[in-house]
Amino acid sequence: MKWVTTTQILDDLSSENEQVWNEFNSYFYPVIFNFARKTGFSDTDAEDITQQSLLRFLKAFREGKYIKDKGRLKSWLWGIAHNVMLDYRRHLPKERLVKGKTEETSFWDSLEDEHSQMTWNCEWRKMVLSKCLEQIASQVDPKVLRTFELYAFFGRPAEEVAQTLGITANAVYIAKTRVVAKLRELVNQFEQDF
Amino acid sequence: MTCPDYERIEKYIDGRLDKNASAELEVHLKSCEECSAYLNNAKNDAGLIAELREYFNPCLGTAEKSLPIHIETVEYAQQLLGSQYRIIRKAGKGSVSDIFEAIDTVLERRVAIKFIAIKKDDQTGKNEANRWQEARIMGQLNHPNITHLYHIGQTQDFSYIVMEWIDGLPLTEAWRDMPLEQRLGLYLQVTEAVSAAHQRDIVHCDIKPSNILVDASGHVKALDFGIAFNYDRSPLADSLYRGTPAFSAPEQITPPVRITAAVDVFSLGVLLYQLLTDTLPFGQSNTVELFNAIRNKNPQIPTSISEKVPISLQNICLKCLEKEPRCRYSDAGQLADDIKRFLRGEKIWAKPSFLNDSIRQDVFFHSQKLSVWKANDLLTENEYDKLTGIYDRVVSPNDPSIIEARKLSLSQTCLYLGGWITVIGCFVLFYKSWENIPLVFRPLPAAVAAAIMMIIGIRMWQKKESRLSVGFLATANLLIPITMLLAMGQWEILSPEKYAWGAESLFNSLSKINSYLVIGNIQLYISCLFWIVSSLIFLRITKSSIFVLFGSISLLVFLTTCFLIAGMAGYADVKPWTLDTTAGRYLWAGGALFAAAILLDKRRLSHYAWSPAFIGLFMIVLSLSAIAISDNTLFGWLWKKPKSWDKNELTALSFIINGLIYLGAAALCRKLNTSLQRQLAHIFNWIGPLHILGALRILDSDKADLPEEHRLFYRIILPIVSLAFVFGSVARQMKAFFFSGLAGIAASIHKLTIKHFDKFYAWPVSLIITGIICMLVSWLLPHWRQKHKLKKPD
Repeated sequence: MKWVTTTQILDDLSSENEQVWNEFNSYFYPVIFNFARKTGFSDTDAEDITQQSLLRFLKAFREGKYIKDKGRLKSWLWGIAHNVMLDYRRHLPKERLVKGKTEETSFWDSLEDEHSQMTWNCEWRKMVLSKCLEQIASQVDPKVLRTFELYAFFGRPAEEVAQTLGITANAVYIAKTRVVAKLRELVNQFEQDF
Repeated sequence: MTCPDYERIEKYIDGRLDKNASAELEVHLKSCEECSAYLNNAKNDAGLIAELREYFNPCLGTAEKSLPIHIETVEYAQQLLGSQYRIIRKAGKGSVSDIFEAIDTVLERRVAIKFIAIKKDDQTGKNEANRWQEARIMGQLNHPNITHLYHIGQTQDFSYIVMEWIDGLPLTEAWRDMPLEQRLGLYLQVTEAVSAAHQRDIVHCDIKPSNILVDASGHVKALDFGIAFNYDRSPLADSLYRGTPAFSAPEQITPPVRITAAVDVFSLGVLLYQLLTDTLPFGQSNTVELFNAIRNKNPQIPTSISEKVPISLQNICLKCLEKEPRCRYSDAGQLADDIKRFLRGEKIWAKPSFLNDSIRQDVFFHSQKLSVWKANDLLTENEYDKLTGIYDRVVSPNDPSIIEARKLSLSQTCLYLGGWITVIGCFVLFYKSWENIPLVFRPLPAAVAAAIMMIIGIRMWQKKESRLSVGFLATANLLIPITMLLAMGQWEILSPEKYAWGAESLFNSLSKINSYLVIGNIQLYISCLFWIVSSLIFLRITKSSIFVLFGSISLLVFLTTCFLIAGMAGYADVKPWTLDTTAGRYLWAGGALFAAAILLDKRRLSHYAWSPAFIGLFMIVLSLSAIAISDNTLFGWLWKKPKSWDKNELTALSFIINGLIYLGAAALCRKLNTSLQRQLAHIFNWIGPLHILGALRILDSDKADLPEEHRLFYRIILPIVSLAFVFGSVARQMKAFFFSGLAGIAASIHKLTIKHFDKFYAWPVSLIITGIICMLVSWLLPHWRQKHKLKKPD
């Protein structure tokens, strides 16, 4: 199978290839969307913000404003999403701002850089992990994956997992080690690329 | 010492190993590189695993925090159930459940028992409710094609559902050797089962062949409502994806997940696709690629896989597979209806908007290329307009009238032919030869025809046969003024003798028509008034641009008659552009029409803008020319007419000014750059040079009373300017200038030849000479250009 390498996505993004764009969307849409949701925007607003951020990103990217050596894509994208959210807030109708006064203070609080950064990092990491897991899921034997899932994800004791799946406890650990090693490799690669 | 297994090392890390064993292991670890490497890795792994748990547990929701565990053995299952059921074998396994075949020893029937693990921290009532969701849904659905629920129960770790046992094959295996009609019979049962669920606002969410069993008698049963969803209660599903990838709808796999009946319709579409082609529409083995395909790609068209696929079924299938949920059937019931319609041989409802989409996409990409080509001068603007016009029509919205218009061909021809024949027939009624028929009956055929057309047209409009209706209404619209004219022909007060056509010089020729037609100005005036009103009414009803055309024509005739009634006021001492003269009124009316057209075009109503634009243009050109010909020309009035100037010179100058105005208008229109404006610019471009050269030809008239030195100059100026036009335009591909230049040359040659040949031969001879010159030019020009090019590098 073909694992679209992350760097390849960035390379291809300059061309008007819709598929690449969709691929890119599948990576970053949930990150920005969840980020906006957690900052306190409604679903529809968050959708708008996500669209705008991605488009703004694409435009800037095609203009060649993103230089990899100067910083990670992660922080760059955060900057864009953050700005879009501030802009968006500014352009929301007045009544909606006045109505929930406490809501608004909480909003500005949540936009404070440190907090916002943390939420962003969290969402980013989640995306990275889920993308890598998705990747692993297509590469690893289903039984091994299941073992890993039971043991590592859901924290069942190794013995119980072994019993349910009809394997030895040792095999559970081997499966875990293999999957985690693979996962680490992919995650490192991903974090390096973006 | 042999290496300990990893279990021991893990226990050691967790501190679960007793002291002696730990000491033993530590000794071994010092000596064994492999084991110490594992130890280090395992310690590192713990961090990543902790992270995984932290991130994904909240995501999976509290409901999934602890793991559903499976029951692997029959014995264990039997132990859980007690004596009422005797487990025979394990029949299957889902992501969170196990299914066993069993016998109800009390009721003596075969049953299927589905075990679902109870989540460990499932204390709250909410999860309690979730636990029985499947059972509750199955209990609500009493349909012959849905598995029946017999009993529910619970042990400490598992809840279980006892239900009807179905001894059958999965759908795709069952229909493997069946012909299409039998397959459709099974499929229809599936859609009806799903439709029964949809009627209760329940979405199955996991329709696939393995969840649909067909028993030996050909009876279909839908199973596994494990992830079914009551969208009436919560329209938004949680972010967790559940379902079978190959059968999932785009909105099911794209957050935020929105589950509606359309999700099932999509899965049913996949099933129908399998039915038709025996392949999956999205067959990618890799989940990432598969999801990408479901979200973004259109499946291969079924008829391209198997030629036997009926087009109607393909349309139904493609409608189910639309990416947008609202484009699909809204629920399985509608789908079932359409399938039944197909089976009965009726017309189906599904429109191939899906095909449209792929066409639209292709056209979109291509039309984008067009603008690039145009920018690089590979396409002329005219070609570009034509192509984009065609493309626009292809990708135009699914307006019923447009689709209808594309479908009609023979009937359309008949419609228009019929319409025109009727109109012409009614017009013939004017001829004098009909005068032996009693006058009262004369308007009758036209009136009856108009009434019939109108009634049929309105009926059809109500039945939404919009295109046909417009045809009938348009004919009726044309018949209205004719009927009026015929009717009014009776009354003496409006007799043609009294109010004949204006006999002014410009329209003198029109009075000849009067001998054939029994029409007076006032009659025309009144009937045109009716015509305008009826055009406006029909336009309001149908919004068809043809009524704009009729309205504009009627306005033109109406204005003409107005002016004729008022009489063609002389030009003597009035400013030619004021409303006191016919030409002035025409100019203003034309200008108003033209402005209206530009406004309409700006508002993106260009289909309405065409007719006012062209009729306005016609009126403007007509009036400007009339002003130019008149005694007191535009120029003459503006700058006191120099006494030495001849009438011809003034007229010519006016025409040249007109020509320049048109060229300016052309440039302006080109700047505005809409499709209509470009077309207008094209026309202006033709009118402009023709006016200029025409003016020069007027100067070269023998009748003009000019001094000899002027005459010589005027004689040369036409050929010189013409030649300049021709040679100047070739390189820039300005057709209008080129051809008017040629016409100018022809005119000057004619001028020369007329002296030597008599009038009859002058034209052909001059044409032949012009032709030869043109051929020579075409032969010489490349040579001349070549030389020009070769010289340049020096």
